[in-house]
Amino acid sequence: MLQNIIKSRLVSEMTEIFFVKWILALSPIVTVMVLMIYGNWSGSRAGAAGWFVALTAATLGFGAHPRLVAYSQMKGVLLSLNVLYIIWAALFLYHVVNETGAIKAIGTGIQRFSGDKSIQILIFGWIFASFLQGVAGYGVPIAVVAPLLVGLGFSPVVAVAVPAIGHSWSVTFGSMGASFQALMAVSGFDSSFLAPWSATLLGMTTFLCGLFAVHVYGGWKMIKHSLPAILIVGTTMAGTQYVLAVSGMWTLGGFGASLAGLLSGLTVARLKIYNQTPASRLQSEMGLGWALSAYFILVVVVSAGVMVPSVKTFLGQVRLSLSFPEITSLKGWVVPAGEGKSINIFGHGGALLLYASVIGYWVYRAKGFYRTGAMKTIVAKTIKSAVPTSLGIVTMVCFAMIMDHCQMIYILAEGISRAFGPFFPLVSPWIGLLGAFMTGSNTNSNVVFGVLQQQTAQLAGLSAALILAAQTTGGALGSMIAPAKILVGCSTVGLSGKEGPVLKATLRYGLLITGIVGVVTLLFSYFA
Amino acid sequence: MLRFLDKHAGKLKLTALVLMLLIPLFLYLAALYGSAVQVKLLLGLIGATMLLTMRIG
Repeated sequence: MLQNIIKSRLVSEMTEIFFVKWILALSPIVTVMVLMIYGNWSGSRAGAAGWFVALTAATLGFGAHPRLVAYSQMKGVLLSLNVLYIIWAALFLYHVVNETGAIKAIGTGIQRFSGDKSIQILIFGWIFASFLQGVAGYGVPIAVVAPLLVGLGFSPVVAVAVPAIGHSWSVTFGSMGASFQALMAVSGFDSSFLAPWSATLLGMTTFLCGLFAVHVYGGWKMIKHSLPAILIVGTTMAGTQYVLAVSGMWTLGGFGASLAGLLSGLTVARLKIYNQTPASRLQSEMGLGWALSAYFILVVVVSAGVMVPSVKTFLGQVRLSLSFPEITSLKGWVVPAGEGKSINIFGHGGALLLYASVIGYWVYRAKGFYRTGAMKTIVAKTIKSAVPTSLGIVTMVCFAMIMDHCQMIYILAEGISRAFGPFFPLVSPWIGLLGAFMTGSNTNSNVVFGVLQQQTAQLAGLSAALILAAQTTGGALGSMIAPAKILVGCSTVGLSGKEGPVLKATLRYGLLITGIVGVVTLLFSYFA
Repeated sequence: MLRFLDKHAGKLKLTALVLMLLIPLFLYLAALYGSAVQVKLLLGLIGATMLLTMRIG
């Protein structure tokens, strides 16, 4: 009897201690969330605040010491560099193209294909926005498409909400796969392990994003009208993304899928049912072929860099890497010795983007599409747009690495695993969504929560590939409700300070699609 | 001081980013080959950069 009482008290005390530790481990994440959502702080400011909270919590409750923190920060920088390489190069390419007026020319070119409102919504808000996500990302799709839709006669709220919903499916493999790169970097898995499930779940959301982008404007009636187009284009985009992702060309996943979608969308726009209204007769100085030429170059460069073994080997000769010794926290948590994330200097996705940018620049220059001093403007715009995002990523990665090195993420994972047990797959995409909502980035969400999801999956005996796919899918969907991105879109259509109605419009679709992904993940985890 | 930080926020963001990428390298070297004081000093520098980011980021 006495033994039983002592035993139950011990169990209850241990549970209480675990709960306190869990709350302490959660504190940096909560700090970032609260500051971003309620304090309207930027990702970089909130990330820096989260770094201080993580350092304090790690020191007080998890036995962190200076050397351990030192190694964690260097590993964080190596991880960040892998992601920043792609981000800077993707933005550079975007500005190389945009400076010629090519993005505007692509928009004008598309307008000439159909006057049907549902087709315009699909081509601009779903396909073209995804194409822009494929080549740039970081709010560019909403910022570019929203004013184009206003110009076509849509209300500002619809003009921002449509691309916000429409492009979300392509976020993970968009931006030349920066978010997927982050997922691989933090989990330590390669693309062949992670890509199939990620492309499957994201493929499913391709259709849902198309359906709901149309629903925002015209409700169920317009969905009925545009269903054949959504099915044809959705199958093309989801299928292309899957093939590219699983064949190792994940850097081109979002871009290639949306380019294929653009071709099939423009073909579908010629169908009789979508040609009842006359199309625009606007002409652009630059033809659609020339406008897209930098992206055709990109396809050739990336295909060669990824699929031609001799080129791949040649480019992969120089790698930046550092080795780290085994380190133990004051509480006995051991981080094994090993190499940090290596950077393939000349064969990295970012390097391939840079080659394509330089070739594209020379082609455009030879054709006389640039004004004098264009390169200076391109570099200045790239730096201006990349620095805030980069700061956010570095601060978030650095605090995530402190948490990882002090058992904090493991404790969080264990708590979630205990609480949800076999139903964890249902929650998994919501965690990804939360991360993207609070940081405004699928990449940041994967960095902050990737290891947590991986460890929780392993503790619960679930497929890590499936759970990480749910994480990144939730993170991608978070883009449609992330205040950071909504703010960018609203600022381009004169809705600054009136973001509420747009967020209200996107929120219900974001939550609904995430809920569906959760149920599908749960079903897959037990029946697939 | 705060006015100066706000006025030059653009350039300081780039500086903060460069510092955040560079200091951990020295921190890593100090942790491997240096003394405990050097490690603490460099951690203090990272902390200062984070404070700067919290102001201008």
